Amino acid sequence: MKRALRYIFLLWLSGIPGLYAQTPDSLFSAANRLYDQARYAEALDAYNRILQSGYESPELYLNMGNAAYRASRKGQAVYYYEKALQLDPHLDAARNNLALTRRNLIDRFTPLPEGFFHRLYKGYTGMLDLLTWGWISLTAIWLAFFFAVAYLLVQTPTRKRLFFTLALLMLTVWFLAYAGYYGARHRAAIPHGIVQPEETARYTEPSLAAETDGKIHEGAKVRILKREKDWLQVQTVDGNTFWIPANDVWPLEYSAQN
Amino acid sequence: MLSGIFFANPKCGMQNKRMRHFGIFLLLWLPLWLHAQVEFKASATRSEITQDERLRVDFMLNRAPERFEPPAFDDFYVVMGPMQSSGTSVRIVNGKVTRTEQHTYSYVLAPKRAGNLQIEPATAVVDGQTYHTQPIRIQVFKSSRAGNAAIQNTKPGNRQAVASGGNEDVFLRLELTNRNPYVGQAIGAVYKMYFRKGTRVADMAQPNISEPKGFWAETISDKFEDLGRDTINGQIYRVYALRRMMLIPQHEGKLVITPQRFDVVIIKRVLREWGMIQYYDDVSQTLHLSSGRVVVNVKPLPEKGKPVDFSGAVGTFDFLVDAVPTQVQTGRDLNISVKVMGKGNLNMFDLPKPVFPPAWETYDPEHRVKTTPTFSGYRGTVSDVYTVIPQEPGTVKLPPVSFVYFDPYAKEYKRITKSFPPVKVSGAPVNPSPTASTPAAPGNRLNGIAHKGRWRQTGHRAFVLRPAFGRWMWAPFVLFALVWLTVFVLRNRRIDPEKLRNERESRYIRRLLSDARKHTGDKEHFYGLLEKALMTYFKNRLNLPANALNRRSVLEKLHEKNPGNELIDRLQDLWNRIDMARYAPGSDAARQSDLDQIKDLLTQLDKKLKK
Repeated sequence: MKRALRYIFLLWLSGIPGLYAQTPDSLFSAANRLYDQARYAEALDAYNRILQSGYESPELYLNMGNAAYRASRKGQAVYYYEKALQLDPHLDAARNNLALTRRNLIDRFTPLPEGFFHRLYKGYTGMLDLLTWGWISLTAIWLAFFFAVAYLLVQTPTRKRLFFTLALLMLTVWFLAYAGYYGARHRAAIPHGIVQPEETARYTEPSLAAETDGKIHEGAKVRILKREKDWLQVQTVDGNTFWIPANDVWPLEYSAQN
Repeated sequence: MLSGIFFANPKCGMQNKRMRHFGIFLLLWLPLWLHAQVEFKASATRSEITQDERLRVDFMLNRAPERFEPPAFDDFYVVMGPMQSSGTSVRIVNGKVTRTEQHTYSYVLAPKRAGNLQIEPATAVVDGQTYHTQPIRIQVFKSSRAGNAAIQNTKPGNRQAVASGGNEDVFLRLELTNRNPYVGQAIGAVYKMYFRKGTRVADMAQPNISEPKGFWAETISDKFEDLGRDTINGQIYRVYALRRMMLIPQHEGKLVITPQRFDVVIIKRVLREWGMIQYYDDVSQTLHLSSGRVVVNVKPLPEKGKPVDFSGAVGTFDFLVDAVPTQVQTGRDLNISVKVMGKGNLNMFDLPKPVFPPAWETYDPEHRVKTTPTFSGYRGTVSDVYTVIPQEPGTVKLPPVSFVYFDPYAKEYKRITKSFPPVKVSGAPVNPSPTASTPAAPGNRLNGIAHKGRWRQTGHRAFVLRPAFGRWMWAPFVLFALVWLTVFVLRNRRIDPEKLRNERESRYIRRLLSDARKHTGDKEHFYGLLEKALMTYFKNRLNLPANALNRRSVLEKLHEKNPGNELIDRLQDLWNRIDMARYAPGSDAARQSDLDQIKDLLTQLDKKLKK
């Protein structure tokens, strides 16, 4: 009897954290309710609390992007859609909403013309996303391994020929997929960021006293070239390079987040 | 002027003509006498100092110079100066008038090194004549606690939020209401001037206060304001506020308010003695006062709990939204306003933006600011008024707008959310602008939110990006190399089949013999095993076919190999004993010795046959 009571007590104790700690799901639906009530800024805040509690998901970033979009914070919207796509490149809702947001941005950059090999490289590595490239190459190399071992062990010439062909085929697949993985990983490691203020100056040097050369607006995606204290040297796709206060750019840290 | 005083003095000897003559005589000669008596002196407050101490050097001149050149001060740092003061005093004692002028150039010096240092002569030109002071020798000792003094001076909290400059009679202080504000939290600053009893201000130049670096500064008032009395170090001072300012720090870190200069002319009442007579004398003095350097330690706003839509508002605020009118015809304008009021860094942040239906025609908002600076920031109202024109009839409920600010007193972020009153739009739809009327093409609408999340820990890295992925990727290459090597080795061994067979046979013979050892008690089985072992051995070693395997053929073959007669004899002897023992009783010990014999015989034979 006493023992049973003790077990009941222990069970009760183990239930306590579940009762008090909010799961990401409950926080998520609470934030979604705010969104449905059109209280977008508050919803964004509530979504952010899930992030702060240490959880993320592509859907969370999608909803954050939507809330930011509805609260007419296009810079944040672009940022969160990009994050959603980093986590799940197949999330079509995020892809569509990102394209829609991009259409409403002020800055339109004409990309610099690229060389044939660079286009080939970008086109090939962009055919599949990084995760798919990785899994294909891993599967292919292990299949190639098993076929090669089978080739060594079987005795009949016809079987030997079959396994040899299969192993060679898998090795080719591996080579192609690994090249894609390697390239995609390199491209993902290039640091990018999203400009947040509605409008901010392009500084020619990392100082507020420096001359400015035009403006850049919220939602613009920039490549981060260099960091110097509180300043970032960034480049837009049209090849313009300038300095911008580091706080004005939210970095998309791929390798650290994925 | 001088003679005016002279004659106006009632004590002047109107009764005494001689005295008057003397007076005129004096008056005539005074300029000459003064001319002859140009005095140019240099004096230092101390002649022996330690390295971390400072001293003041005064160059005094009793005539206004046309030019004054200070020495080079090669061995000293000029900490302060030149402080220029000039005074004129007119003295009338018992009808005697004396007028003295004093021009002083003061420097506060800090020695560059220890040793016997020299302050070189200063030069002044008076009426075309050049005068020099005497050089001054200063003995500077090494300090045992060099640098301490400097640290003590800059240590915060010694005199809370106070930095002062000037001399003991008159000095200037900058007082701050808060030395540890958050970024964006306004602080108050007052420049206060302290006059010792018996000193008063005669004239003051309009101070030109530069905006301190890193702050947004606004003057609240620059009236010269009497703040009453204050006692400092037992001395009574009269305190005046020169200027009150509001400062809003723009970034975190240690921000330095550089000293500001104020020029004042003061009149000081001095007690003088002339012989037995004591009298008060008013001396005017021009002072260049400087407020000291003040460091403000600006804290960053906490990152914890910072809402995403925080736009930098710091203070205590209220937030209002409104729509006027709430009933409107299509095509008529209405005003939507968002308003923030309170105290803080008003108009240094963006107001939250309302979101309008896409079919409404909207114009840029009118930004209205009505604020006054105070010690705790701007007080007043900031609002954005949007003019919008609804295009379609219906009741519109605009989404609520929320405003986030940081309350520096509660030390937390606060949010105020306000809803608009519903707007009733009546009338026929107005031909809308083409951008608003485009039907929602696929991909032109926002996809809705997701309701189920695939959660994972933030900072989680996909397997494909972890170092383990690389190991799994290269492992098959290593494994294949190992497998291939193993197969290669095994194949190589299979190339010599005779050797392999020999090994297999000898393993078989060893097993037979160890079997026999276990069956020493079973006579029949024991000798059968021995016979089998011998035959297996010879079958392999002498290459005898299985059908021709008998003792005779073995002996014939053995003779051909010629291992020596002794071994053949021993073999025949063994065979005989096997045959005999099969049918005759024997002991366990005898069988044991037979087993040993057969092992020894096989070993010997093997050696001979291998050659």
